Parts: sequence; structure tokens; C-alpha cells
Amino acid sequence: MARKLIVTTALLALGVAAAVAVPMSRSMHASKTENGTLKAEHSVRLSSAPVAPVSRFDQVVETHGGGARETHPRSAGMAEVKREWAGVQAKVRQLDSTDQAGLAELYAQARTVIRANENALSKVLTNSIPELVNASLEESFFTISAWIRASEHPADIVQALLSYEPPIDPPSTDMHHVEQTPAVRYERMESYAFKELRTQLVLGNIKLEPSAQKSLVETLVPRATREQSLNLALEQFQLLAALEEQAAIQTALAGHSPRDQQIIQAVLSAR
Amino acid sequence: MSFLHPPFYNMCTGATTRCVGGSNVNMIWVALGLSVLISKPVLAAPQCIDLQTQWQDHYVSDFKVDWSTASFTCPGGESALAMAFYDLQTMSFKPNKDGYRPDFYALVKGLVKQFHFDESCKYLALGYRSLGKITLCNPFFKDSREDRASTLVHETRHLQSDDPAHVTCAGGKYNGHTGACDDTFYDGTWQGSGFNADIFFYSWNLNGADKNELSRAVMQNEVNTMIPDRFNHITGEQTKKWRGN
Repeated sequence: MARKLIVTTALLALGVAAAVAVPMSRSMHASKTENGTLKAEHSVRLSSAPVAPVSRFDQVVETHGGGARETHPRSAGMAEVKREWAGVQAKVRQLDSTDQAGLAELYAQARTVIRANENALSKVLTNSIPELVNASLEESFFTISAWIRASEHPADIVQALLSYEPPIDPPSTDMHHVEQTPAVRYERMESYAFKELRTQLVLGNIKLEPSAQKSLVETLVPRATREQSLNLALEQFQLLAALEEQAAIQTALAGHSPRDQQIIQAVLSAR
Repeated sequence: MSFLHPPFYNMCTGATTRCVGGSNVNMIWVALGLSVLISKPVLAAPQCIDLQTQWQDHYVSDFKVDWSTASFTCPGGESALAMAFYDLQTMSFKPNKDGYRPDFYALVKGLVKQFHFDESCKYLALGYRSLGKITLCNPFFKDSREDRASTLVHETRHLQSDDPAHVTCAGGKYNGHTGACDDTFYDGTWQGSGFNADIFFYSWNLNGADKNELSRAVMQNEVNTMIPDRFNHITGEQTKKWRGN
């Protein structure tokens, strides 16, 4: 009987370990592939720059995707950080939409997790963008704002979003209403990320390192130039304005119609 | 997404309100549905049985639902629509300085003469003023919970005689698309067409309801998807003000 129990326990433990290990290895493989794409795209975009500033998100990807085999302790650390972050996110899901004190408490918890494990968490979040796109807007907005407010490298999550290949919806049959598809949620995450980064910069709560700002502006200008959504364009232009990048604004404005230029300029000059 | 199943895809057959047959399969769906409800209580979620009671006792008659309403599953088409009615019914706002506060449930109830479902249409929903009718299409039921409530308000605006209807967009994301914009932005008042009604709806939810910062950020973000892209005539000052800058 005792032997049976030991065997059963061992099998159970193996089963649990396998259940945990298989999805983890799958997700790591998926993220490697995805990050390989991201990195390639990023380097193409920055190829004209003499010094290509690389965000910490990319550095972590490089370490991981460059063939370096992860040691066991580091994997355990990653898993632990992922678990810790998942715990915070679970609380966000359970938060009542009227509970401001509870939300403040969750931001404090998130800050502690981010500050203690910034390198590891940056990788976890980069790999989690597809999941964030499928999560509720409350959950994804919380992750974005918590990172921007607490990280020493607040622009990294914006860069990670910009580097992510967005989901593509089939052509909409209804221009009158917009269904909440992954592509729509991704766009909403982007616009929120631009706005939150700008807000925190304007409030003086955060600062960007010169290399981070240079990299962000280089990514933003081509997007802002060809952006058809005025919502996204305005967020990009207002972020450039908060970074005091007047020349970049003038460059990007040239890509817009006179009517849209007028709206953008009016918003930028409105007090 | 709270309800991922096609609307009116009933796991049950028969004309009773309870499931007949397939009970094991149903239990799985019920468990899945409940787990979704439990895992995403960003908006307070009523129990399925409470929604079903409201549906049978009030919503079907209040909104003149014109299809066979005997079947009710969670998740399911009827329960998704019932949830939208429930949200309209339970929204509470602080009155403005004139003592006014909107009652979206009464507004929709008072104007709609018929709620219809068209399985073949590709829109989210359509409002027919002459008939006082709102037609719901499949994508409506796959939309987010918050959007379903605002869509009902949007379509209700189309039923009013002073609704000027949508126009072709003059710029922005929907540039050149017929019926994808309102001509003029009316500063959050109940004027203009459906997108003005959406702004009215979100404006009250943003400013007149007790919401935390995160919930407000999501609603403000929704407003920003419309301002200025859904309005042909809107000033820079209005744009800046309403985008929460």
C-alpha cells in the first residue's frame, strides 16, 4: 500500500512537472521565433542609424535568442517572476471597477515586482504581448501603466509594442461599428501606451535616457508620418511634443492631408 | 471576451427555459461560462439565473424581442443581450448641476418598438427609424460587454426623428467610408447622430459614475477612438479637451 502511494505520488509529481514544463517550453519556443522576427525587423529599421540604440527588452531577447543556453537557476528565476506577475494580474482581473484603493495597492505591488526583477520581467512582458492583446483592456492597460510608472526604462514597453507584429483582422464588413477584435485591442493598447508615457513624462514622474529617446523617436517618426488613424497619430505627435522633438514633428506632419494636419496642429498648440 | 459562442447556438433543444438533453455537455459550457464570469468581474456580473429571470419577466416585453425567447443559456445569445439590458438598467449616475441624469434603460425601452435578430447580416446592429426597429447581427454578440451596451444606445439614437444620420468621413481612419462618421461633434450633448450618442454615453460613464482610474482609462480610450476619427467637423480645442489631455 505504502509502495503504491509512493509510486502514485511520484507519478503525480512527474505529471505536474510535465504539465508545467510542456507549456513553458512551448511558449519559450514560440517567443524565440517571434523575438527572432522582432529583432530582425528592429535592426532593419535602425540600419541607417550609425549607432543603433537597443532597448533593454531587445537586449534580453538577444541574450536569449542568440543561442546562449539558459542555466537552470536563471530559468527558475524567470518562472518565479512570471508567477509573481501573474499573481498581480489575477488580482487586476478580480478588481471591482469602482475600487480605487484596491487599484493603488495593486500598483504598489506591481512596482515592487518590477523594481526587484526588472531584467527578467522585461523579457516576460515582451513574450507576453500576444497574451496581453487577448486579455481584457483593463489587464493590458494595467501592465502598460505599471511598467511605465515603475521601470527605470519606461519606454521599453512602448518599443516592445511597436516592434510586435499586430494581429490582422479580416476586412471589416461594418465601418459603422468596431468589434473588439485582437487587432482593435492591440491598437487601443498602443494608443494607451503612447498616452501614458506622455502623461508621466509631462508630470515629471519619469525621464528617458538620451539613447532611449533617440531610439523611440526613430521608431515613431515613420509611424506618425503614415498613420491613418488620427487617434494614433495624435498620440504619437503629442508624445513627440512632450519629448520636445519639433523637427521630428515637422517631418511627420508632411505625411498628412491638409485637413488632418490642421487638427493635429490645433491639438498640439491648444493649451 | 465574455461570450465567445455564436449567438443562438443553443446546447439545449425544446421549448422550455431549461435545457432538455445534452446535460453533460451543458454542464461543461455552464462551468466554462461561469469560470469566464468569475475570472473577469471587471463589471459586476449577475448570476445566470438572475439574468434569466430579468429576461423573462422584463426584458423580452420591455424591448419587444420578436424571436422565440424560450431558450436561455449562459453563455448564449439571449444572455449576452440580457447582460447589455442589465448594464443599462443598473448604471447609476450622479446628477449634473441641473439635476439631470440619463436613464439609458428607459431611453431604449421608450423608443424601440421591436428588437429583431438577423443571422445573415454582417453588421453589429442596425436601427430602422420608420419601424422603430433595431436589428442585431451575429458580430454584436461577440463584441465586448461594454460595447454592446453603448451599441444599443447608439442605435436607439437612429430611431429618433431628429437624428441627422451618418455621413461619409472627410479624413482620418475612415476617410471616404460612407456612413462611418457624424458630420458635426456636439460637445457631448444629445444631438447629432450615433457617434455623438456614444460620446454622450461614455461621457456620463466617465464623469457621472464612480469608477476607478483603470476603468476610466479604458473608457477614455474608447472615446479617443472616436474623437476625432468619427467626426468631420470638430475643432482642435474640442479634440484636445475630449481626449482627456
